[in-house]
Amino acid sequence: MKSMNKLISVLLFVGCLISGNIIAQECSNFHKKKCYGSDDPFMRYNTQSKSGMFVLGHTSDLVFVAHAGQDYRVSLCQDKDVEEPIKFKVMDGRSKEVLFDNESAALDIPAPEEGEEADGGLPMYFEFSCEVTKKIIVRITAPGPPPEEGGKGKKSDEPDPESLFCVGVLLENMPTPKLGF
Amino acid sequence: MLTSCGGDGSDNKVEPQIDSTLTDNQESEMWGFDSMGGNSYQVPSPNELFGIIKESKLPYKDGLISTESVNYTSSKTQALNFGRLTADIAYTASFEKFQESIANFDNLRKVGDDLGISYVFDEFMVNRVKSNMDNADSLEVISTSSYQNIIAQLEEAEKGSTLAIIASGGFVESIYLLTNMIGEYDTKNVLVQRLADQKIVMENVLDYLNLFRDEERVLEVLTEMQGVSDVFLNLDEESISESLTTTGTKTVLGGNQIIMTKDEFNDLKAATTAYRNSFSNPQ
Repeated sequence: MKSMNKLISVLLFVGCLISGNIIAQECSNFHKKKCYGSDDPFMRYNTQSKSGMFVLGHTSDLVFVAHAGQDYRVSLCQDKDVEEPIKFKVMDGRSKEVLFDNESAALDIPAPEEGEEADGGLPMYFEFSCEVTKKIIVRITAPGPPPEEGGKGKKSDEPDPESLFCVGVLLENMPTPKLGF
Repeated sequence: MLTSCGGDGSDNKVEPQIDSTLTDNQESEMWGFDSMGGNSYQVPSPNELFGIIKESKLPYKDGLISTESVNYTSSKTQALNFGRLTADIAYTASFEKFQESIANFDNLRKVGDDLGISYVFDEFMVNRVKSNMDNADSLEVISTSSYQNIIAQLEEAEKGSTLAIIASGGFVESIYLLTNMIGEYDTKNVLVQRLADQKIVMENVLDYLNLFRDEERVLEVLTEMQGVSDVFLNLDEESISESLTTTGTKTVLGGNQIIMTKDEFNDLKAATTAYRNSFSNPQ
């Protein structure tokens, strides 16, 4: 009986690992399938775009290079079955100055008037022009309480596969339009 | 999580150092943007660089690249040359050089086979490349989309350390091509500034490699590339504008500009050419 229990435990553990890996692989092109890009026809897909698998409460950074003389758009998307929106900050890769925070930006959005339906969401994109080449950090924090130290988020303590979900970061760029004649 | 080599721009560090301000993910984690460590350091594709360089109207320079097929025996040199060939294709495609692009696409497939990643070249991609290589409008687009497909498939297969070496090979080749296209240092040449800006990319390349430095071949690349990285990481910087300005709805990011002197340019050109030749033509 003991050996049967042990076998079941091993199978459950392997099952969790496999399901995690399958989700990780499913996430790999998530941004291409699910993120909404710019309407500007000059904006082009940037190969530094990436998706990742997140667990509730987890924070992870994507560090990319933005070239001088280019306009960029950072668009985020997440699995639709996660109810709360993700939080993201765009930071200077060197000084760590926060350049954009979608929670703060949400406060600038006028509140819905009476009779209007509240959106309840956070801005999911940020656009900027680069005067100099810069290292940019996109810091994503998935909704929910942070994983306990040494607990969730580690391979040694697999979370419920249902709490795993994909987050995509779609990057687009185009030459900064020249103003005037 | 790992290194931020440039610091705040006022100090120049040669050795990559741990950056504690990035999220503190441990290597045992599998969540986030990278299955190895949570954070991810992205390196712009050679196509992105050559797309920007194309705007400068600098002419194509013959004799910089070879289309000869070479056998590479170690996985390290295979991955470095896979990256080198992606940069060569981006370069020839941006100048609409059909024959060179086709020849090096075949070489890329061969090195991919040797590296055990032949699956990244699906039939659709190969047919699309072969049937459109004489179409000037689509050559660059196909080169870019092929690169995207290859990177996406390698990411899906979790070939992290191989991708880091491929990115390094592509970066070194891009710098080799750019320094040789510029030829002689001239402060008026806008491409000298583009070249100096690659210091930021160099930092991300090192950060990316450092994620996998436990692997011997990755540590070897880090050591071999030190001649190139030393020049880049020692470049001075000066503040030229506010880090963030907002005009109406437009957000403009400014900050430090990187400066490259004539001596630094020549040192970089020599170091890059030496390293590039060492892995592309092994004796």
